[in-house]
Amino acid sequence: MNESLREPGSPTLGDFLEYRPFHGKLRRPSYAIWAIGRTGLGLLFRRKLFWGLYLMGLILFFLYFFGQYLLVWAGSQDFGQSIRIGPFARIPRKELIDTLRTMLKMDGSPTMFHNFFQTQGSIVMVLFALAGAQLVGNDFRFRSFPFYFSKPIGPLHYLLGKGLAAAVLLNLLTTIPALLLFFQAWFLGDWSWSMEKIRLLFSILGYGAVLTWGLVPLLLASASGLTRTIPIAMFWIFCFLFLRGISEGLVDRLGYAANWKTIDLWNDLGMVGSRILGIADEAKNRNTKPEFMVVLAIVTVIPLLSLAYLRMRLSKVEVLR
Amino acid sequence: MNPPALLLKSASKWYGQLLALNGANLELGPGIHGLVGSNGSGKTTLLRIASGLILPDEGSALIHGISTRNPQARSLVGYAPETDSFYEEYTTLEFLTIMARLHGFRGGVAKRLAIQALEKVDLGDQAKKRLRGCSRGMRQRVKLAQAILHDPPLLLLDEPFSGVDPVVRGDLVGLFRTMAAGGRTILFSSHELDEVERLTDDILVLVRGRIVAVGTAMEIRQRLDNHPCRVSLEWADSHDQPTLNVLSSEWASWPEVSGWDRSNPPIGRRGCLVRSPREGDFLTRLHGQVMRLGWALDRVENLDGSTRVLVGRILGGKMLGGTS
Repeated sequence: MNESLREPGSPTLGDFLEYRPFHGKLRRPSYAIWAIGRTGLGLLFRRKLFWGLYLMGLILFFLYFFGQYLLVWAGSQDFGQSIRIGPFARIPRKELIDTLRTMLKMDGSPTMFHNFFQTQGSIVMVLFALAGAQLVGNDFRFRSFPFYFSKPIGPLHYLLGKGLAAAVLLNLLTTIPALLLFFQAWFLGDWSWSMEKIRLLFSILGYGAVLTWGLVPLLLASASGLTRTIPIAMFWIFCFLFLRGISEGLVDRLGYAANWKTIDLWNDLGMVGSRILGIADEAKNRNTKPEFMVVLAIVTVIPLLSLAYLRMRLSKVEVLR
Repeated sequence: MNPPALLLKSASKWYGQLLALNGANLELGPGIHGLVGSNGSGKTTLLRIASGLILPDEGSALIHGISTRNPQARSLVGYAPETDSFYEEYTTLEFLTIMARLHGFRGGVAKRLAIQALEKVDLGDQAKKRLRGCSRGMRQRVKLAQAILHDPPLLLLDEPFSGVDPVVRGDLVGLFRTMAAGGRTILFSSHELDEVERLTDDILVLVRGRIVAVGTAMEIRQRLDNHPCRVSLEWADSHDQPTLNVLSSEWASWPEVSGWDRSNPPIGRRGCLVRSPREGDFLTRLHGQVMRLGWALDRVENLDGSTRVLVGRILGGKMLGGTS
């Protein structure tokens, strides 16, 4: 502001220069993890595209949510009655119940939750592919690190903060809706707690933890290396579509060893998740089922490699040397 | 005795084969200090080591007696980097609040500090403006605001005047002076040497990673007093040619004069450009000669005497900013 342009008597810059030093207690650096995570989520959800994708991701949740209600409602109708679907169609009650319970498994069983997690995968992949650049890639690309690391925090806080944002995003699409479906099934059921239900509750949490462990480090690592949205999206397409196709072609069509299926990470995560949920393996042909220990090794090693790569990337950032 | 605000002891930093900072020894107390050097001279590396962003490969850096290896030392520093890559979706206030939270301030306090910092850099009325829509000058001020919001005793600013218009620049200069008067230490780098000379008590000159000169502009000038230079002399037309011939015939025997050129004097005047290997000695001897001959010089100007050129000379003959 030019002094000569000021109104007489109006405050000058000097009037604002009285510092009031902070005498309170500062939080520990670990609290910055939440600040970083919240900032990352804010970056994502300030974009309409992410809201659109997130709402798309919830469509499946609503399918299960209303499917469970429909099953309970159909079960409460008179036996032999046909149920009207829309203005014209009518469907026998037994057929509707069979479809919901046997085919779609909308019965609150572990299989339902396994199906739900697996089918949410596609939208998770799309969201993660687009979120990578926003969350981490741009920091590497535009060298934003001095703003972070000139504060009393370290690379670990940064990584945990960004990982927290990615984990929240992932679980908002998978674990949280699954928990809502679990409690809905409980409310619609007999309201009783049993060891089986408690086990299912923790299995859902465990499944979410496996997905978080398997996908978040991979997202951070790929975003730190590729930085831009398109390359990151291509990498995710390669990992979760191309490799899936390759694995199916090798094992199912060309008769390669079943362990080749482990190159499909989403399938690996699903297998570990199904073990946690305690459901039987659903592979139609036992010969196409990879060994569980190999799957477990892949699910353990890939995130570890991702974290090692992240560490290397961060060590190459000039300000962190 | 209080420890210095910033103490570098033989601090060195390599980037692969490149020695970016070469055994820098530095002790800074309260006041404003300017850091001058050409591109790649190590200014940013020095500032980053001083801020604790990077650790020296050799030597040490202490902020108020605390090693920069201790993350808490960074609480004592406000660092404004040269880059301005912000999160464009956030408003200026939100960005500063985030920065305050990273320092460890709780929500309400963080927001209050952010508002105060915006007011200090004269952006109080732009709190709700998204960073995406900020001009270059405003972004510079936002960078400065995030550096001062926690009121650090040591402020490290990398090119703080870059892209800032003269009016805002004047305000920032006032802000720095006020902060320095309050006992804070400010170290800033700049290519604007005139700005450095106008603002700072102390100039540090960095050449290829080495601090080659520390002192006031006057001290640096004195150190360079007898450097090779060009001196422009001007006088009125009333002085006739024979007098000048006498003068110049004497110059021919002076070791302080290596040559002169009488072509292209200013219109309506007579002039002469003298090249001297030792400016100080030449001016002393010229003064005696002029007095002896009763000759009146209207103007004597050392064309290589500005800080810009002096520093350029320290930098090994390179002139900063493309002028000399």
